[in-house]
Amino acid sequence: MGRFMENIIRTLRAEYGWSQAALAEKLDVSRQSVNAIETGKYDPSLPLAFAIARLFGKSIEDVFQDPAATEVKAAE
Amino acid sequence: MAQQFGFNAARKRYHRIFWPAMIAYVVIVLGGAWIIDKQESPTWLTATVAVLTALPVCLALWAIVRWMSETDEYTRIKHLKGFARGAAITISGVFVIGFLQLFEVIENFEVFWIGPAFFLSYGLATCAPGWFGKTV
Repeated sequence: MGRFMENIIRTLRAEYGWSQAALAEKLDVSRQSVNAIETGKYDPSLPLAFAIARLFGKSIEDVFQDPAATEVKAAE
Repeated sequence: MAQQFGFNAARKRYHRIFWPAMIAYVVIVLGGAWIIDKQESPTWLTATVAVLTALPVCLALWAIVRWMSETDEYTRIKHLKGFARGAAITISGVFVIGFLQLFEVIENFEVFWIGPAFFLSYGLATCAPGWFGKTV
């Protein structure tokens, strides 16, 4: 596995008017964690991914997309 | 697996151990230098001060390991990788120096420097991925 999940956290954060630090505070993680997840450099664990989705009132699939799955669908 | 505290609680627990340990270290180093007279002091006193000086550093190291097990997942993986890479770099250096000694290329090496070398390697190995655009 060399590729990371894509996500729309930056967009959601902008909608809610939250800074990375504010989101980090709500999730009880470091600001660097939020930055790494948001920029697609780190994939969160399932519990953290659920916590992020729950915070924005969305499902995991709404927030995170697997680029490999998208490619498979496109190929079909 | 250790109990998860989250980033903020883990950081507080870390600071509660780390800073008192560092203050104790400075006090013992200065106090030890004042108490110990290498010519006159008995061996038991010198040994006691030596072990007491090392203890706060051991405590700080334990606080770092505990913090890594309690903090958030990204910080944990970042520091565990740095810790492992730092240990690998330090142990590699120890092997090189050890064989240089064994083959009598160099004579003496102060074992004391292994500790600071590890902390330096750990710090650099934790920061280095960021310099190349990687996070961990």
